Amino acid sequence: MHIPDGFLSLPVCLAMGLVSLVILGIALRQVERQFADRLVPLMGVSAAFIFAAQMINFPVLGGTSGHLLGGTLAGVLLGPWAGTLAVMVVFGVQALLFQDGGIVALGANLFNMGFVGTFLGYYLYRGVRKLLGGKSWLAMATGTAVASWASVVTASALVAVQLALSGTVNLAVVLPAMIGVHALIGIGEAILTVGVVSFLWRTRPDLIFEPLAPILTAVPPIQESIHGR
Amino acid sequence: MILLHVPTFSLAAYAQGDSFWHRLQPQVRLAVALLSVLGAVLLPEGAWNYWGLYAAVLAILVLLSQVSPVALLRRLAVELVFVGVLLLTILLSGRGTPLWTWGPLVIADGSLLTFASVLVRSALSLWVLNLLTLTTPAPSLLQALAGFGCPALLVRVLESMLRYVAVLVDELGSMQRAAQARSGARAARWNILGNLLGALFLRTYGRGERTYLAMQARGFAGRFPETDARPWRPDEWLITTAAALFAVSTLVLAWWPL
Repeated sequence: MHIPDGFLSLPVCLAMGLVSLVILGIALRQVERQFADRLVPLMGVSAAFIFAAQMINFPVLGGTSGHLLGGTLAGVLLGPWAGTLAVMVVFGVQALLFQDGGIVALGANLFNMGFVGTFLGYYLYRGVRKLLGGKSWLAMATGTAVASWASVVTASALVAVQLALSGTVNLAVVLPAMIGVHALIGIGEAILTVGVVSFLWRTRPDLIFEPLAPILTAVPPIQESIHGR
Repeated sequence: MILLHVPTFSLAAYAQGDSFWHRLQPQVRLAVALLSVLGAVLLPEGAWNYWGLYAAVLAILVLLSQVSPVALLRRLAVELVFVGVLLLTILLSGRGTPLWTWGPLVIADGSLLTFASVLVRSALSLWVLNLLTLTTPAPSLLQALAGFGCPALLVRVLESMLRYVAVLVDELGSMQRAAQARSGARAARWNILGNLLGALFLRTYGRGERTYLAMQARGFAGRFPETDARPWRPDEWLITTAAALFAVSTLVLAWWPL
């Protein structure tokens, strides 16, 4: 879903770049207002994990392949703002170091996969979890699955709209195609995200972001953090 | 079924050289590299002459920097294969008049031009960035970024991400060896993939967290001391200005031909 350069028109790139820059600024400020020191290692490992996990491609119909986007995973672990920041760093490094996604189109990629993927993923997850009663594994897993599937499909629809706005392709052709393929990729994303989050839920539930009981903003329990798991 | 492309993370293999390029401080190298990437990428489709010009300048730079061209080409080849697979969708998008048809696959002239242009752009920027990362260690690059006014938190997240990628690859290797020692399956199946990735996440986080807390206990406050910061020399200003002028003039000439 990474858009390479040459697919979006300059106005679309500029507009998306500006929007992403503003979002990045807000995310930085929001994370600094939280307990950023404690969050940096978790953000780093989430970013590295998503970066590496995106190198795992799973085949979809017709020879195309999909990979984890990780927005929902980052949102569930880090909350919306820190998650957005971590995922944006991943896409920035991919564009600059590995040319995965264009540099001029970076703003659009950051917006689609970084911001929308994380924010939509996080709030859908919270909503579904609350609807199902909150604390149980089933509520968490359902919320994660729904959120990761929906965020992938929404991001792909946004890519289609941006491509159409740039005049590259016709919206009527590209929108169903993108949504169709990513409805399948979303299933893979949901399986992987639920798998990882469930494992962490069983072994280190303190790593999962909880705004209701703000573990990360309180003083960390020293004994526990030194002696680890 | 699952392809694992773990890129080569033997970054900065040529950091110790002594050449014209190495004597420039990291900030200057970063500025020159970013200017040439932006210049090459923003050129319009089919600007073959200007891309050729970039390639010539870069070839001279490689010779000057004493980086082995074979090592550079090997890295480029691996990365370009990876990029090329992603770009196949562009080639088959069927814009313009069809040139070649085979079943449902159509290659049209418009999409061929876009494909070739994107491929050349990626090759050039990969070339520049590989030259940069082969000769400049990641901590210096990050310090250079901070020196350009990049927010400190962003630099710290970038820094910890780059470090954790190395830890992650390391932990993955030892988990694979452990699985083989228990004569486990070589390829992960869907039902255990989540546990595998979760365990990998936890192991990486555990190791990183211990290191981070140990660093904090020794007084680390989130910032490494700057070792090689000094004002730019006149020739460094000259090089950067030349790179900027080159990028801007090729862009102007390519977009608005005389």
